[in-house]
Amino acid sequence: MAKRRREGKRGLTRREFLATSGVVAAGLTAAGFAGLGGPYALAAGKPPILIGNIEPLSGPYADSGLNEQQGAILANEECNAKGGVLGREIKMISEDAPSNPGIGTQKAIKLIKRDNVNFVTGTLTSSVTLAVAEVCANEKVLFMAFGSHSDDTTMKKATRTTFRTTSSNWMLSTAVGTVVGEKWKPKTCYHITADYTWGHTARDSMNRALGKYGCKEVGNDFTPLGTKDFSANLIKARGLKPDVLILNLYGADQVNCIKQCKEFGIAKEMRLCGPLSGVPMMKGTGDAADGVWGLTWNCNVDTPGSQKFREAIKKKFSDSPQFDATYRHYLGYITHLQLFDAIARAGSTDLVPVIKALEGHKFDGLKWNPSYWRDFDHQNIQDVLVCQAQYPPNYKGWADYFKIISHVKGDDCAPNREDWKKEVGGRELEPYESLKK
Amino acid sequence: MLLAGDSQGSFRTVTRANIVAQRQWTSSSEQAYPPIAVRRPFRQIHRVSAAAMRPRASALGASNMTFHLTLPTIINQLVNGFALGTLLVLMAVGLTIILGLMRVINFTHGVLYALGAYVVVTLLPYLGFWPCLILAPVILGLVGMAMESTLIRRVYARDPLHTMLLTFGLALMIEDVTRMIWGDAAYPISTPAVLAGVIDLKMVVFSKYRVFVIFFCGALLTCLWYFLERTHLGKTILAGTFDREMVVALGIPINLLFTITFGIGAGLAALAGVLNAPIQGVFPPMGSAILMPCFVVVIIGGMGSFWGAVIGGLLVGVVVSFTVEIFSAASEVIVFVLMAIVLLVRPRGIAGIEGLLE
Repeated sequence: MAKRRREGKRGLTRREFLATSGVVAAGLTAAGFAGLGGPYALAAGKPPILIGNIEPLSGPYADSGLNEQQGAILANEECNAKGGVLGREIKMISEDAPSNPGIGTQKAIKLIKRDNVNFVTGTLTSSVTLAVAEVCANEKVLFMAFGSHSDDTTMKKATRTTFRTTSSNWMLSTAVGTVVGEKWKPKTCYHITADYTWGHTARDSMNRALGKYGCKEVGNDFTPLGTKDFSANLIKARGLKPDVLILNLYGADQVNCIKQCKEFGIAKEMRLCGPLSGVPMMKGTGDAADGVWGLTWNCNVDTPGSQKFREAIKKKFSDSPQFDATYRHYLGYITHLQLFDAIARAGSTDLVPVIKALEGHKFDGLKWNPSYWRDFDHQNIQDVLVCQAQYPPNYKGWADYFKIISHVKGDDCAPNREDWKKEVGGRELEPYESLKK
Repeated sequence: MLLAGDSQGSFRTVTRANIVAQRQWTSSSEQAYPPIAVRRPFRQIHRVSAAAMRPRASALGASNMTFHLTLPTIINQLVNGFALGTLLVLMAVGLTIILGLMRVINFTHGVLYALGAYVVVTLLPYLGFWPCLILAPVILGLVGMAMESTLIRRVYARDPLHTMLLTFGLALMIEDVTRMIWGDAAYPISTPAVLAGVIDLKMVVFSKYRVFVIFFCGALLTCLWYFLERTHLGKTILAGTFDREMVVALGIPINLLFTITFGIGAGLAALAGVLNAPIQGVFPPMGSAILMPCFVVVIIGGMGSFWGAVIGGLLVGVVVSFTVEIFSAASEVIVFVLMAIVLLVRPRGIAGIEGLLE
């Protein structure tokens, strides 16, 4: 019985299927032609400049990835509104790569080989950034990294084809260490350090900066990545009574540790600081928000350029009164603008001219001092903000999370040529001749 | 302004000098032969020690392993370990009873815990913390019962692997649903005002909330023990964990028993989620993160055993707490080392039931 019914049904569906699929296929083809016709007609014969953007749009860093992408979209639209670059339209192809270097590699290869993009931009986590950087170096495509903070990106693993917009871990930690040393004059510090490269280098940089002010490390805890409970570390730190507690932690680890600092009343006995934080973390800590942190940009930067950018982001991407531009928006925006500007100055989309146009180029990074792309490591040297995290009682929106207490000039916190050489072991970026395809 | 080449050097010198000074403080024999890291603290419990082992520690690649086991620290870490442990116990008890009675390795336990916390996120603005503490376990208990009676029940008769696949799949799905509903970002839950802050006894300092967690869980576990040992229904459940066939043969409706047990387990998991929300915040992967330690507690305690889960949970909490004090980087791996040691000595765990899943 059941079998017959199923057979009967199949017969019916076959006819229906043929009829429906015919209609759908015709409709889709028509729609496709109509859809594609628009932009190609506007490009007036000249092919668009293709930019492949890789961001984590799913997984734990989805929010930050989306913000970087929004910044990039704003830059693209501003550029296209002015008639594009070299008379060519900017087109961006977006790919999602959650924090997994394998997927990052796949997506980069897909963008370069199948979509034939001219440039690759984006990425947030250091592991994906390094994977994409390697693919781009092999394929000889320019890669503008937005968000990786690892020192390696512009140090041990630096390549001629990679530029990195955000401040390195070294710059952030040194900036925070300097300001903390100057303002608080601590004698002793205690570290809670995430047990991987980023945490280790943050701790070293922090100690180097604080050491100048006579601050000694009295203890350090390496905590496994993904630690949920820091109570035992905090009890231990309290026993040693340091002046400053330094949290070399990021993401959920940082959120949990700050929350538990409040729970154990740590703020009354010592001061908190750390190399890097951001709006997503402060959203997690809520009214426990505390500490002094390094940031590459913040919506409270009072320069006219920054405020104009901030308003543009707010107007375009959200109606929520809490929403504000974050440094992730800034990274996407400023990197794309810089790339377009470099293409215009180079007069072509070829690799070597664009790299040469970027190297050593000074530009307005919307902050107090001009930024520039350093030629020997391709790091964006820029002002680093040192901010106090807070949750005011009359909290209104994301802008309230960080109060800028100081900023350090890029050249004062970045590793100088000698430091850089020492770290990379005398290596230099590969010569331009090796970049010929 | 910054980063002259010698800054690093001068800082290191300070640290070295520090080490030398502290080295001289210890006896000369110790100076000649720095003791092994793990043994030392237990011998010298009341002295600020271990500075002497720094050179050795740095040779191992982990410089500046500082710790000092003084009496206040020991008390602090012990209390802290109990607080960590009781939450694990709450989770593990549900897991182990479900395992013992139903032979189901329940991978949804983690997401039920997370859902408990998310119910608080949603209801907190309307109800406040205390009603949530009761409401969330009840809601999730009902959800658990529904899940058992509609889905899990269908695969009992099959290979145990099928229940494992089913619950694992459900866990993945529910975690993604929480992402869709509540988003990826972490939600902060404030400690209730009465329990904010610390109990400061000068030498020792406790977080009020964690002390509350210990007493609350202690009371709850006592009630649970009373229910299992002294009430008719509880005794039936316990009997079922020892010999299911006999319980069925006596004419007890085992399906109803299963549903109730699953509901209790789900409720306990949700309660642990609610209690943990002010400590660790609420975020989607919290469920999968807690699941592994819970299974370890169940294995250490012995599968299917109530007291095993209690002892196992507290043991894990205290051991983790002291490992952080002595060598923080090992705080994650120590749980598995502990499990390996227990299994070497007692292959069924501390109080495992003979014949379960064997």
